[in-house]
Amino acid sequence: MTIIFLFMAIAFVLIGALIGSALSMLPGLHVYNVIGFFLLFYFTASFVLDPMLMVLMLIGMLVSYAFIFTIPSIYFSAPDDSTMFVLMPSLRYLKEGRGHEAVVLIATGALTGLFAIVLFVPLFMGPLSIVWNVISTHLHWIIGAVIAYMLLSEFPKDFGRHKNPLHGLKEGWKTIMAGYLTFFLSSILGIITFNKTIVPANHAFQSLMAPLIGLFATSSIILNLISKYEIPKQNIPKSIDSTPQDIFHGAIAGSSGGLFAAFLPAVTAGVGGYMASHAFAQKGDKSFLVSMGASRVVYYVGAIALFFLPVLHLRRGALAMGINLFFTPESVQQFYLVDMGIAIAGIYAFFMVIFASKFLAKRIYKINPKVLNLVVLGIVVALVYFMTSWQGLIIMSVATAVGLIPVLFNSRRSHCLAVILVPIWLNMSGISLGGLFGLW
Amino acid sequence: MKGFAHFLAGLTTATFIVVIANMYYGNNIIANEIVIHKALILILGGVFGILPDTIDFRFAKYLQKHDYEVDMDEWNLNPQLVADTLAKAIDQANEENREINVMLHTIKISSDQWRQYSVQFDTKNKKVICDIGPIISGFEKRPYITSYLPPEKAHAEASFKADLDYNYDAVTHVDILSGPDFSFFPEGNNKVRADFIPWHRRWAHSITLGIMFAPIGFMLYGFTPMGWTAFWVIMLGFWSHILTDHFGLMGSNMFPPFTTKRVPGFKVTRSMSTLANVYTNYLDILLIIFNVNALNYALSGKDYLSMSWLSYLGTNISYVEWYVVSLMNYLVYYILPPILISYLIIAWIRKRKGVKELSEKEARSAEQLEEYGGANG
Repeated sequence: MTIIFLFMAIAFVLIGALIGSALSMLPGLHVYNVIGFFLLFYFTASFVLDPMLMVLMLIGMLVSYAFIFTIPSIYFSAPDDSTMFVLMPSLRYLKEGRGHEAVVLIATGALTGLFAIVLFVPLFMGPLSIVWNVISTHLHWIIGAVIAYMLLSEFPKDFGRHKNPLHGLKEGWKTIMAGYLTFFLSSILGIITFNKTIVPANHAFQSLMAPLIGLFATSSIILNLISKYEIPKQNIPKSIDSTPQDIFHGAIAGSSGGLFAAFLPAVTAGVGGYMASHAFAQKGDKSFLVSMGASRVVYYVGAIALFFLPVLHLRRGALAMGINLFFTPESVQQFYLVDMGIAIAGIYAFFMVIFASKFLAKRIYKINPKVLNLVVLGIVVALVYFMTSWQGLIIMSVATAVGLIPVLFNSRRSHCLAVILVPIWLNMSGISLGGLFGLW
Repeated sequence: MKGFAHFLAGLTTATFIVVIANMYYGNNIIANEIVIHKALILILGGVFGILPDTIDFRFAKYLQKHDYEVDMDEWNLNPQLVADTLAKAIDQANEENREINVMLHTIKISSDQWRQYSVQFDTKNKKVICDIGPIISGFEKRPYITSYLPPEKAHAEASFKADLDYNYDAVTHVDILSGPDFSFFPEGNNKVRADFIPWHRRWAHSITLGIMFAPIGFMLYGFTPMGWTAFWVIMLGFWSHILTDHFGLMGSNMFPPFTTKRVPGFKVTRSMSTLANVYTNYLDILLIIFNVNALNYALSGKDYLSMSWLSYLGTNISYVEWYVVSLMNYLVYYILPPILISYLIIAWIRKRKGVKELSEKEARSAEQLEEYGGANG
């Protein structure tokens, strides 16, 4: 590897990070949705561009997305599947004029997650590959266990005022039943999407976009549109007053959850982070926000690190699959180059997210939230139409209705993730339910 | 323990049972079912491992009947009412020789604001003390400093006559979601025992219920080797919950309907302690990996962990020998050192910072409040 190639590598990482940060500011847009276009561009330009440079550019995009999507998820409240657990405390922070504080906490967590990937993944190369070899034939029950835990660990959120035990059960079980209904409907949506989506064949690689946006983004936007609220003036504090214990605890929990999600198919950062917060007996919003930042970065970026990790080459996430279309990781040198790219893009993205948050925090209160949400809704609908045609809009509408159930009944939004978890789990367990829905 | 620790403990128990059942039945009947035929039997361990808390917080809580309910609102704050009701309930339990239950409701102001109040039992001076606290923001429980009441309106005391046996000296805060309840049991000789959230860790946390659930295994798989395995997975998975909880102080009622009181725990740790949960989860995850490797080894002969102590035994060793020696080696190399080293580091940091160890009574109070927090978590 020459010095010139090294400089070009850094330049491509930064170009990717710049593109990624611009795209990440668009609410509802997932970096995975645009990767396809960049791949098409690369396939036409592959005769002049070294594949490793393209890989580094895509990694730059992914890393900056993992950091900067915090901005729309807090200020425009359009969360994706991995940020919905951040939504409640972060929305609370925004309502209290502490949106910037929430961003800094999440970004700090993301930075710790980045360190975990850059420093620890290479160190645990051997153990990770052993663990993968051991569990790879047991994924059916491991993912089944994740689903069982999701369903059994939600407790009622009633206020304890009951006329009699039956009335109490009815009140307490309202949220739980709403959660189960969400889980059931999301599962059916997922089974249909994975087996026989109505999205046209030329857009089929984006078939998950419409249900995910419907479940997590448009449902939140609609709720924002029908609720009466104003975004207060945001405070930009000099310090976030977080203890080292909060950050350490959040970082360890989040990184573990993110790694768990990156390692296993079907499990996303939201589920991983939530399980890790239970595993580490997490307490307090600050530690929680740090952990979600770490979990998100380790999930997205860790998946790429695991793909390049010598002796493992685990293919997780749309980016690893996309890269694998034109590139096969082979050497330790490539892994360290990717590790370097992750570090550079991460440091850029950390400062970018702080800067963008300060910029928005000073101005966001001047914007009418209804107008903001309408604009966001317009962008999201346009994106879905552009990427998946009118059929995608139909799927998005159905998913929005499903996504509104947990929002309106105060149950866990994680149940919406059944859209991915259940079809993959059924597939791994050799259970085919497609026939039930007339899919074959 | 947190629900996640119970779930993992149940899964771990299930992996042990499955490995033992696979050895017992031979021909890799069980391993084949799990790996080749994708049986989901192991999940039963996790499901029944978390079930006791699920039953308590989703069902038992609602079956509790209350003789008194204290329900104040922001415009009618009356600490005397709270103190008087509790004191009256204590004496009534003693005089009428029956259990009296009291529910203290929370005071909700808006979607994210609650008025906090606290109750404390002064057993020495035979007084119930109630203090109305500030308005707090829901989940972070941050007080709004301008919301405190003047002391003369915020404080009230009421006396009771019976000797109260209350093992916790905590101030119980009533704040978000659903409020706590207390049970007062007459114990004769002017003595009344008070229990906090009396519906928790009773019949649902019992050896008896584990035995009753176990036959579900036969319903799922019939009287086959898988059915018997599921029988043990369900029963021992359920018991794993009771055992892990028992390392705390609160304990459980082990054999209802033959027993009615919680048997105190082993007092090793507080069941909701972060460190205890993290160590339990670490231990469980590593044991699950070990047992899964043991199943793979039985089935395919591939030993991905290949522990070094095995080399001392030569090549002709039985599966049982392989399992036991590998497990000992695995414990010594991978499980114990990280736990011991991190524990020593944390103990050293705590000592340097002068963190005071909790007395047994304080630890018990902390545990009961954390368990109550679990209900609202």
